[in-house]
Amino acid sequence: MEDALDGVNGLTRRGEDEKRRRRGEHVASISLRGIEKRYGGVSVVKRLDLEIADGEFVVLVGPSGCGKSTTLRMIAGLETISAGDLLIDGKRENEVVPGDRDLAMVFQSYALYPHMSVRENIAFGLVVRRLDAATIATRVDDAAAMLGLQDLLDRKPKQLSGGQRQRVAMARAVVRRPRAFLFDEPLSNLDAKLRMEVRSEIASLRRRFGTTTVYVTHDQVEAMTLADRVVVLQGGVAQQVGSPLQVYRQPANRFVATFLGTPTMNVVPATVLGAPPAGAVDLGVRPHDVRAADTSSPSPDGVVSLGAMTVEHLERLGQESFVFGHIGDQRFGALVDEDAAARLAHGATVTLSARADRLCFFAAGGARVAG
Amino acid sequence: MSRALLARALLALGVLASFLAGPASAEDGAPAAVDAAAPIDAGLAAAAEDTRPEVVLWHAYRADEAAVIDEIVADVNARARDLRIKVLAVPYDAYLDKITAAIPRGRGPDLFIAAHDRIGDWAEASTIQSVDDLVDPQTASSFVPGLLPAVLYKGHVYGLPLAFKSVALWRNTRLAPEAPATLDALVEQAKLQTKKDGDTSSYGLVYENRDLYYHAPLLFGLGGRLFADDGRPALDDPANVASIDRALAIVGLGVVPQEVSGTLTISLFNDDKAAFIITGPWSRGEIATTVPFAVSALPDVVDGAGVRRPMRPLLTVEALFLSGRTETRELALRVARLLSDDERSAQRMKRALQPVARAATWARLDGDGLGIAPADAAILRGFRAQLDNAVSTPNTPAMKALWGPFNLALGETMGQGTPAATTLKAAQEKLQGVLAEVDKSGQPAQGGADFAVVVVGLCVALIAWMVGATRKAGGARALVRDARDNAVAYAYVTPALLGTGVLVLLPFAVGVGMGFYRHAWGRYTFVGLDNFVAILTGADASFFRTLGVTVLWTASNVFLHVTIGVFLALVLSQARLRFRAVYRVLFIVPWAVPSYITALIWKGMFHPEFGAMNALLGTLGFSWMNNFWSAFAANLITNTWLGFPFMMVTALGGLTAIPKDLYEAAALDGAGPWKRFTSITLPLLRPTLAPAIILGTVWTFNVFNVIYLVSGGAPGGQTDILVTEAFRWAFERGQGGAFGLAAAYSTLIFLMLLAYNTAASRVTKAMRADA
Repeated sequence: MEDALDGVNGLTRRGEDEKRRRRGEHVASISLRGIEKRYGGVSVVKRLDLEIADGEFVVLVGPSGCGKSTTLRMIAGLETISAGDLLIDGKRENEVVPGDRDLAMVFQSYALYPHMSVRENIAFGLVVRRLDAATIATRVDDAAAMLGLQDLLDRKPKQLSGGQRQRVAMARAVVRRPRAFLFDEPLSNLDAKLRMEVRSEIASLRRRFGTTTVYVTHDQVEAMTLADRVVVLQGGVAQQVGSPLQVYRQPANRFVATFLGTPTMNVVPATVLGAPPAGAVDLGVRPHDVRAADTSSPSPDGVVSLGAMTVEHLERLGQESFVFGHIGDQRFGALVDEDAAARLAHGATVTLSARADRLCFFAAGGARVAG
Repeated sequence: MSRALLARALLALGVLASFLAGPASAEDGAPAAVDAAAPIDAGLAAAAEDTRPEVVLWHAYRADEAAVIDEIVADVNARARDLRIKVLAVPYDAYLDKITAAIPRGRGPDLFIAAHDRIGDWAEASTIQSVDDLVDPQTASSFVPGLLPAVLYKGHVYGLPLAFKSVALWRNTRLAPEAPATLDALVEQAKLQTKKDGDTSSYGLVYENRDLYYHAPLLFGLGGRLFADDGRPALDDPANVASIDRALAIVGLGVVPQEVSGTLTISLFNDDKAAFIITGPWSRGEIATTVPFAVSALPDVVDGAGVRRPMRPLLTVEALFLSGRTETRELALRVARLLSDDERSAQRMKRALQPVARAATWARLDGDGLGIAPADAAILRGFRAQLDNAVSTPNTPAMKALWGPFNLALGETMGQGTPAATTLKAAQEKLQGVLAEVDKSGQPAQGGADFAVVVVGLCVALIAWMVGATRKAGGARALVRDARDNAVAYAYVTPALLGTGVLVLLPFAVGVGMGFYRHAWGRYTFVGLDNFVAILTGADASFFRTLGVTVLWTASNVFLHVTIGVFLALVLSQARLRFRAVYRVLFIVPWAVPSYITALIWKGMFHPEFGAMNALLGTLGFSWMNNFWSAFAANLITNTWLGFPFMMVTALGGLTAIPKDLYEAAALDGAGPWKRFTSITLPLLRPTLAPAIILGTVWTFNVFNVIYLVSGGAPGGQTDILVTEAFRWAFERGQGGAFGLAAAYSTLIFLMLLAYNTAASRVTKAMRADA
């Protein structure tokens, strides 16, 4: 299934690249080779290697302080690179000033120029590059139309709502037709509903332009929905690079497994009898893959029973419901069907089972060993 | 109710309250603020314990001279049964103003010691009264000849001479063993002692040759005069012209340094770098003990026609004056007689080395020596010898007005080489103009509104304006309701309100009101708009010239303050800069030092021969103050030094408020450092800087210290700005000061700044709405 999904994204991308090339526009590949960032003696990004293909949408995701924004800022040229090489289109650009990298960035705070109108904000990058007035006007109008800003062009940023400001920030990036877009947590200042709207807007922009994009977020939903590839970072180190489904289904280690997915993956100590991976391991299984039943029925083939659990907490999300409780001293979460959920009460006992092919095993160091 | 409205309403209340309190504190209804002597008087009364009637004596002596007065008074108080003397030493700088302000209001001393040259002013204003009955023929003959005439005014004796002072010739006996007999001989000797070599330059003769007081010996020696026989000024007398030409010729020989001050005179003399100096007995205490010196009478001078006369300095007689308002006349006269008698005279000479007024004391000096060291006795004799050739400083009111124009002429000829005939003619015209203007002040009142009425009227108008403003927001009823609802808040702000009313609003009303009056000797004469008309239609259009200089001064200052301030703020806001905190403190230092100290330091640095600026620029000898542009530049540099820290601090605050990511966004948009500065920094600093620029403009427009202390208006008043010009009208021209004219000047300045402020605030408001 993941291959299929990958295939859809990939197909779209390749088609758009083709279109762009035909229009004579340029998309860039970005290579990070052993990139490091140190402040004094502290390394915040450690020997990061990453190849971003032309037109690819890569999301850097991770908890606060994992080095994702720093990496993005090094690509933008806003931070110096302590070690390693940054190649854009195969050319080393470590020392190239931001303005000459031809990248556009959307900031978390939007960074709109407060004293300029929306039109001036969008046009600024073009004015600086001394394009002729007619071209500027056309491009600004196009970008404004694309993002639904036509009626707001003469307003000042402070007269706009959060979502409108975000769209101006995007228009400012789009209008430049840069080699790549860089997004630094662009949705984190928006409320949940707006966030979804703007997310789909970003997705449609990305479909339309096919421009190489590096997107930083701590929100796994954004990562899963937007990315061609996801880079999960922790402590300045890339834990895993892969398609959204890969990192979700085949997490490289316990950190990736627990960072992605809601509710969090159940991880319990276990002993595997037989081989491999024989011996003491951690067993991981996502709550979505665990079925809770209040009636015991024989397990079909390929399904393993996990034992009985007393329900401590029930979360009914409308579409689906989860039960939470403990088996022994291990906390567990499991999907429960609606009928059962309606019957279950606090203190009820349920039996848990999971598909064997959904189980993950982690070695003592956290690395996934099988499953 | 808006906050602005509340503020205005509170201000109105405060003013009202201050008025209710006002008349109670000033008995004669005169504004309390003018009454400088009151606290001192009260203090004296409180301290009085014994029941003997008291005679209050004021003086401005310091050191030995003050000590001997204290000794004498202590002695008298210990012995006298029916009186006691209360003595008060007033700092010299405030002394004359205190006397002029206190006595006409029935306060101040019964007796005071002062120089005789103000007699005319004081006698006209009844500040002092004649003491004819004290000076019988016998007493008259007890004084050293030449002193009594100095205290005569309109045929009456107004003071009892105590001591006399004039300049004389001091020489370093190591460099100049013999006193020269003639000026030519002095110059010849001076030539030998003059060596020009940067820091180690030494000069044959050092004196303040741009000051009439020090130039006077040459002027009188060559037969010059200040007033004609009919009492009218005679500044352009040919002999005066010749005297300045002669002084200029001596400067031309290079034996006299440029732009000499009293401090410089003494410091060169103490460093063995001046063979001869011209100064008075007051310098005695400042001469280093390592310098062997002698004092003698100034030499003779031979004029163009071959006539030889002695150089004749101006003579000042220190005398005891009887207050015009004393209630203990007889007692005070007894004290005066006592203080000036032979015994006390000897005591003053012996203890304070004072050249005293009694002839008998001098006889004793020549006889038993009074126990005075021979070297000190020789100095005293030097001044005594000089007295025989001294010219008593005229004690008429016109003399006070003469100094300014004459010194301007002297400075212009000495500094720029303008022919003395030209500058003295201009000085003569200027003095006549000033005297005519000041004379009008003395004319008796001819009806018209009473000053207090006008001031009260102005205050009422101001309050009405403020209350009028409240009407727009719901009227007086709303104000009352608001006061009731927020009684506690009003109570808290009341003290500040009262302070504002008394310290700001009332003086403001007094100042504006004064513009419609002529004021002299405590009399106010209503003249309507005459003062304003006189300023705006003055024949020489000096107001508009000064206004032009003021505008140029303000614009160039503010431009430099902002440019330098913003530049330094940009440098200091660089995160990469090390020791930022240290630099920040260092750059604020000019702001932290009192501005007059800074101004005096810079003044020293602009000295042509000893200043750091010329040493640095390699232009030793270049006189900054001889030319409008260089004098203006000197003022400008000083004030820029004082002014940039404020703009820097303001800009630093503004810069920290600009989000960093705007610069990052601009950098990614391809904007270089300059484009980022013009497109981001400047526009976003503007709302912060605009109020600072408005403030800075107002402050600079009214900068007094720098102009007054650095260039002093030089050359010839050209670098004066409106506020220093107003000051000169009030305090430097004519008797009692042309306060009305000065007040009108100030009102005009206020109106200009008000117009500027209104316009600028409107622009700022628009800018803020825009941002």
